Amino acid sequence: MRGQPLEVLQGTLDTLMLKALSWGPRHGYGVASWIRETTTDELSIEDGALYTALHRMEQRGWLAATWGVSEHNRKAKYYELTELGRRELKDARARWTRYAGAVSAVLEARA
Amino acid sequence: MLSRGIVRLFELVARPFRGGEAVDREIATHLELQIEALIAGGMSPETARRVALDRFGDVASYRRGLIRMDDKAARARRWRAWWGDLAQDLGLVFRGLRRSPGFGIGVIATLALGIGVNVTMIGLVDRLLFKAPAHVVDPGAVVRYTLTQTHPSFGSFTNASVTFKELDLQRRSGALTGLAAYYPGSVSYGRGESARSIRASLVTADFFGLLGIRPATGRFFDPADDPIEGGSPIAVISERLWVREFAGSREVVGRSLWLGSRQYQIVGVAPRGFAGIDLNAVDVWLPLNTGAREFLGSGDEWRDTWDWQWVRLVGRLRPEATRERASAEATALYRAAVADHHERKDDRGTVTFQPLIAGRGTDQSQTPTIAALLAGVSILVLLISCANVANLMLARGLSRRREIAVRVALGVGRGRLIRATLLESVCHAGLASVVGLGIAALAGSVIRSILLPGIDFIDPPVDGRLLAVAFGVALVAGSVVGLAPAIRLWHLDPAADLKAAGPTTGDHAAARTGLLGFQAVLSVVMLLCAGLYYKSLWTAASIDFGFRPEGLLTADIDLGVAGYGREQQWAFYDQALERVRLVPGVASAALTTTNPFWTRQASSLRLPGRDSLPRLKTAGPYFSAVTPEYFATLGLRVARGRGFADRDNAGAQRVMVINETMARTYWPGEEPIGKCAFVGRAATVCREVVGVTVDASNESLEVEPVMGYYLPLAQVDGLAADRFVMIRATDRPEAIAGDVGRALQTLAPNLPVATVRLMQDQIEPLLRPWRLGATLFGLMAAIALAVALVGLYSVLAFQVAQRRRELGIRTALGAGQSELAKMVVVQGQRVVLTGIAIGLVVSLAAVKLLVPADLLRRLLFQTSPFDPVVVGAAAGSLIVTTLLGSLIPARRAGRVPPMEAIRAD
Repeated sequence: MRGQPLEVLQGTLDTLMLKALSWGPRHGYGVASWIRETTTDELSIEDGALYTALHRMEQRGWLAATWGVSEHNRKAKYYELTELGRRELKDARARWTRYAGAVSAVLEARA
Repeated sequence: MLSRGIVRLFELVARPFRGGEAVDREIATHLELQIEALIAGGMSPETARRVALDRFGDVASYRRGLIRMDDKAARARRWRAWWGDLAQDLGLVFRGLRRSPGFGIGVIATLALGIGVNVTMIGLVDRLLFKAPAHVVDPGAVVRYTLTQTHPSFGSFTNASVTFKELDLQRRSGALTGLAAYYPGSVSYGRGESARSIRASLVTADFFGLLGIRPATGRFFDPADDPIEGGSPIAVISERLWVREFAGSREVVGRSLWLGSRQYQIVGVAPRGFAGIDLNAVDVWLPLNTGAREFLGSGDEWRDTWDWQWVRLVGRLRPEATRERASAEATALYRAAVADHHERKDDRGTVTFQPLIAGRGTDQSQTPTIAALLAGVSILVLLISCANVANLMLARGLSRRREIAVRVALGVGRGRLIRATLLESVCHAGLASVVGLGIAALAGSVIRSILLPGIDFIDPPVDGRLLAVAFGVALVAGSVVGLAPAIRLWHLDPAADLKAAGPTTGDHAAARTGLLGFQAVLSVVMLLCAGLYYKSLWTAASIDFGFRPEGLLTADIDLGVAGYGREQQWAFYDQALERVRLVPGVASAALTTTNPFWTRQASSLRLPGRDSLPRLKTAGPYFSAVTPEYFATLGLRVARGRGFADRDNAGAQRVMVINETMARTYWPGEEPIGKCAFVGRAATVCREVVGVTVDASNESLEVEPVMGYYLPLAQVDGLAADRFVMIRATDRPEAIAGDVGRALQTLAPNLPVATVRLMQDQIEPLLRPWRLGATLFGLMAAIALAVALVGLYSVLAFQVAQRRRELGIRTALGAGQSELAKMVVVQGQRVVLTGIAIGLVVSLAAVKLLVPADLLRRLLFQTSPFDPVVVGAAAGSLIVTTLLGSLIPARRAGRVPPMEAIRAD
């Protein structure tokens, strides 16, 4: 059964996108479609919000951007993890695991 | 072209970045890819389009947000880059200074001289003309009262010293919130031999309150302190005196100090830096009525009559009043008051309220005017320095052409290069301003103590304002200096510069020659000023006074304050004369009732059988009552008849000696000896003229003829109260001044200190404005010449170096050494001669057209600005300097070995 798409938790979007870029440079559409496919449309994220996050992370120095040519010969902006971004992904992942573990532990506890 | 470049140079942050394009491209690509993917998945194009937009969200809003983010980031990046470049360029500047210290030192020294001269002059003028006295609240509303009176026979004159009656009269004015009076004078401080003269000011009780001054400790005066009669002796002292004499002790209030013949109790201390509102610093203030009784006599003439012009008035305008309105009202009050007063009937008298600050210059001295002129002209020195430095920088720019071309080729932007050049100039100027401030501090104190000893400076020669001025001047000078090389960089052609370091292109040479000519123009103006002031000083100093002031001393003792009556005073001076004659080194001595350049005196004079007498512009006649040795002692020649002798005593026939002007005015074409005159209002005996002296100046350096006459002291019948001892020294007068003072002091115990002055010192203040102008203009002209010499040398030397090859070829073709040297000299002279011609024409035309004749008369002492000797000397000295500057390059030009020169490239 599928219900309404889930709202993305604050702060997790950045992590998802860092993950999306962890296999190499992608343009914005690539990141959006990867997330959509991977989550099988369970998350409700506007594509515009993804770009805001990409630009923000670029300015924080987590991502580096270059202009390149996309598959259909279009000018596209490619994003790539920097060393700083890679470290951030690692930290965010560890934080998420601890958080999810703690929440699960509480929810599955018996009396 | 250039202006756009300059704008771009400073654009820094203001320009909106074209971040929008990038964001649009990014979003478009996204949407296109999305739509294609959806169509490939089987959607119709319209649906795909709708879904893609739907998934993206509010495109316009996201777009705006993204652009804003990118802009902000780009701005931050730009700032960082800008500061980074700046730091790098600064590093380059200092590395450059280290690499070629000679060039840097040359540039900085030249600019420092220019800045130093300017700051010194501005400091001087600031103090003389612009700075309000410290601690005065709202000085713009404080005004000084001046009265302009018009006399039918000798024109109008303006006076700041007015009668006491005008104080009461003008206090009625509705335009003023208050009006106070003060009288600047001096008083002997202390007792006996250690006593000395200090400046004292008598003030009305509201003087301090009107100005808004608050005491540092104690209190000021209030009206109860200063009754018309019977006030007790109290005083307010300056902070300077407080620190010097009482070590700044808090217990100073209540202590006493000896002033004149009395002790005064101190009631308060003025705040630090307040020394009255005139240029002469005051050390002690006394209540006006009490002080006037003490110093002016016990009668009431000084407050009741229209004869005693002595007090100065300061008022404060009501907020809504203007000086013009207040002056008009005061004029009306004055005219109404004197309308029914027959001695002072003056329906053309005009009151003018002067601003507090401008009024500082009303002491008739030319010094402030000349100082202002000096400050204006000192800007020329700065311009000369700037031109010279610009020239040096151009020369260096040429020799660094390859280096610069390489940097351009490597992708360093032109804007960046220009900015670096400007930065270098500003840095040089900044360093120069520090050195210049040092020069100003030094020069300022020297000028103050040597050239302006009459003015007491309270603040240090360099203060915060001057610091700001110095750095402001440095910034402007730096930008101006950097402009020429920057313009050159703008037209840079890196390709050509990389290829060759050949001869200079025409326009650079033209720019450098132009700068040189400009320097010559300014130098000639400076030289003219210096020359005119030397001429003025020389003329003023060599004026024939009619007597010989060198070797002459004058002495007097303020016996009135020591409680001597008139008869006692006269007896004292008779004794003093005998005593002084015994002092070794005294050739002769005489008594007189007036002291040349110090005091003068007039009395009513009638001629038998004449109703009225001709008058001169200088009024008079003035008289002195003298002992017989007077003429010999002063060196005043009796041209006809005889001087006085011991037989001209109280019992003998009344006689007088007149000067040539008086003889000519009263008895034109007649023999004056044997004529007679009634001297004194009550005179019943006609005095016989027994001699005629040459005219002697006794008031100012102006050579308007003055009528004067002399009476035997034994026959004055109480006409004149004052006495001065005139002493001629056999040798140097300063050597015996101390002995004369001590001799007088031994005549009676507890006398106030005797004042012994050199006659030369009495004359010196009259020469001071001209000395100031001559010295400072001379100094500036010397600097200008030195700078011009260096500039010319560097330009010619550089050109010779650049043309080595050509010169070598000429030598090889048979040109003689002297021929080539001459070529260089002529080249230098041509530029400078053009500059001289322009400078002379422009400055003389400016004087002719722009400077009013009466200002010129005040600025120069009996010297025409077109004086041919001065003009010739100015041009000549610049030509000689030019010759000197071209000597070495010329020799070098003649000695280029032909083969080496050709091989050199």
